[in-house]
Amino acid sequence: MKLNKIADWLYVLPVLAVITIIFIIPLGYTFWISFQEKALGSGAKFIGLTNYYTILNSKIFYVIISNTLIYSFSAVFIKALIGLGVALLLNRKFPGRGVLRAFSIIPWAAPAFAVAFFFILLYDLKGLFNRILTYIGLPALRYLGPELAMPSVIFVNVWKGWPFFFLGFLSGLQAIPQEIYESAEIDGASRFKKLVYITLPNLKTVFFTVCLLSLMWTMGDFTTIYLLTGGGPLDRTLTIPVASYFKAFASGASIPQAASLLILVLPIYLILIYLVMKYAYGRT
Amino acid sequence: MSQEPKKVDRRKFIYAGLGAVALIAIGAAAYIAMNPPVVTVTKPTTSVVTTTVPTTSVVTTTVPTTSVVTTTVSTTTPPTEKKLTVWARSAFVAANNDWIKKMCLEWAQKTGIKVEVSLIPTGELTPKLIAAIEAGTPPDVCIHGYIPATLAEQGLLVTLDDVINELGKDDIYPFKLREATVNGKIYCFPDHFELYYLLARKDLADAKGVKLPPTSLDELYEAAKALTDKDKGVWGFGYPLGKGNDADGETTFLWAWYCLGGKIMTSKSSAGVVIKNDKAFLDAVAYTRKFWEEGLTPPDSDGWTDASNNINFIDGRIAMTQNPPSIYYSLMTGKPDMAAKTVIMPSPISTMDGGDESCYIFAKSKYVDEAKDLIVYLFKDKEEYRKGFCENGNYYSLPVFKSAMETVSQQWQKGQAGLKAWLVNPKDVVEAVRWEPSRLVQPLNECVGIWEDLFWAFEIAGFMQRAVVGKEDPEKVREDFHNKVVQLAQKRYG
Repeated sequence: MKLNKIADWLYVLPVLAVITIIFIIPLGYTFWISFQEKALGSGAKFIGLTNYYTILNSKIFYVIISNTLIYSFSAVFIKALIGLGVALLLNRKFPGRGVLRAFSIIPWAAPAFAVAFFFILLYDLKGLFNRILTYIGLPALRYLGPELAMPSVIFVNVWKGWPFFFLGFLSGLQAIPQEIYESAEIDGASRFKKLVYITLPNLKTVFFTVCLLSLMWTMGDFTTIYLLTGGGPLDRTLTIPVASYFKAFASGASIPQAASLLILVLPIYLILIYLVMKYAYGRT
Repeated sequence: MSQEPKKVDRRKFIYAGLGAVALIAIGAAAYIAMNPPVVTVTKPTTSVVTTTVPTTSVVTTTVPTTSVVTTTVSTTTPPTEKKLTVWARSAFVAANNDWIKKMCLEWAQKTGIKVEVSLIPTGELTPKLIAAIEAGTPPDVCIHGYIPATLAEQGLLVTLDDVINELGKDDIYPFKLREATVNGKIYCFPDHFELYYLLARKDLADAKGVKLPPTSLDELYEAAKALTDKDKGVWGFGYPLGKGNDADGETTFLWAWYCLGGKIMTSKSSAGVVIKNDKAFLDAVAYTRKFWEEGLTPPDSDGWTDASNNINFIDGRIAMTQNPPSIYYSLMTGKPDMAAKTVIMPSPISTMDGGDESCYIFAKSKYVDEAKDLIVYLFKDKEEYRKGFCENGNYYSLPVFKSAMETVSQQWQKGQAGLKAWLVNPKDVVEAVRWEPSRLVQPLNECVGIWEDLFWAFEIAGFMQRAVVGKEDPEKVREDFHNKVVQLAQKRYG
């Protein structure tokens, strides 16, 4: 019996070792460095909560948080709507369904930098979008100007990310037993009622899991914003990853301050992780 | 029947975690035990150093100058093979990259020292360097690299006065030496001029009777006004006002600021920051606002990224812009008809030199002498450098040596391809260069590391945007800008 227990732990040890190396040590280091002052290439000096105080006292921190939340929640909401709509559509049987399903995944498979560059061209003053607008007699728009920069980067994120929702929802839809729909039909349920009382409740777990995972990824999206706007104009699209990057690798290369910024936003991620675990596995 | 997964109590979990940590520690200890530490011996004199390694081999190293000799102390391990790790910024021009690789390979063959050259894209080089420095594993040499002033101020680079002397200090333009000097010592070799010259569409200028080149800020503004023809979708001057990974906007703004007598620092200290009293900043904002508010630059310039003014010029939407030679290079290689209509001129008052990319050696390198020898090898043959690095790249880069520039001047006089578009002899333009945007701070005219930090974080562009596009009170923006620089200066210089 005792030997069995030791064997159990031996099986678990490699995983624990890997988790320690790739997760616990870097997180611990980030936490430790956030209390230090450190010039590039030199030793660290303990300065207590100064980095946190500096960040919390800067107006830009609240701009960054607000931008990140607007960017992430709007993008995820729209992606979920599109993903659900397309999944419902492509869950039906019709000729060419397989081709359409495969075609839908292309945006998700495209490299993020290529998508960003593609949209730089589309958003150009004389790009395709403005050509269409002027063709139908509307004025050209400044997509990456201060007023439209945030919706424009959200649009790019949605364009690239909705297939993930589609795939998740489609697999969820296929897992719903057909018999339930057949019973509902016998009882005279309308399409709408079947959607509300069968489809959506059965998709609940998949829905929350996909949304929360996507929320975390969208909050961490760096490439789209960095390449399209660099966080500007006028900091209108400055989000946590872009701001941390500039803090760590550009302005004075203050890795401790970048670490403090990340630690300050860690609770948001922890809550999201907690929710993912809760909805995905039904326990905390 | 489904089975509940077995629960593990907290104490056992912690024990398992501790066990894992202990295993890692044992593994690390075993690794260190199997790889003996490298012992570094500093030899301060010119000598031939012979180190006998007990029982297995004898290592003989010829040391031409003050140097570091490295020997692995071990009875079984064979002598370590010398290897230089070189990181090079991947240049816009393929010919430059090819030349760097070719020369490094030649040097490696000549010396028998292994060289590992990695070409790293522009945007990735500095973050990679910072990460490598923090990890304690910087390369030996960086070619075409950024932020040497910051690195030198942190004591991370070796001085290169001897390299510069060997390359012929008197033959190097003093302006480039100034770009290489930090706190009185030379820490890098800025390997080219990359001028932020003024490009213009000569056909449009001729049609509107605009005289080129403009010789003052007012003339440039008037030329932009005359060349703007919104009905035809042409704007007079592409003024990059974005913040998206774009140094063009802040360079153009700094140029205007300096032209108007801009003053940033008078000494390398927080007390030396003088932005808050500088009227020229307000004038530069007012000047830039004229382009934005009067629609002399395209209405989407506030969202431009690094490539935008290039794209706009190449697509014929702007008649003039200030940029490094990438636009003209693209025209020559991809749109020769447009290249024939384009002229290159010095900017009014003085042209900015954007060629801050430099070669430097990290103090952590085990092979400082070899690294110095490599840099000397790359640039010692000035004709090879002029031809391979500069001319083969259609003079995207201009040489830093006066002797090589003399040849370029003669080629311009003969109307050589690649130089045909220049209205003024490039030699005269180079010799009139007074400013560099990323580290040479005015009126101090010295390299300032914190300015590099601000510049490459595009923070100068951020302040410009607030005042010009955001229409914030320029005096408030100036005060915030001043406070930001003071804060950084206080931290680094006191």
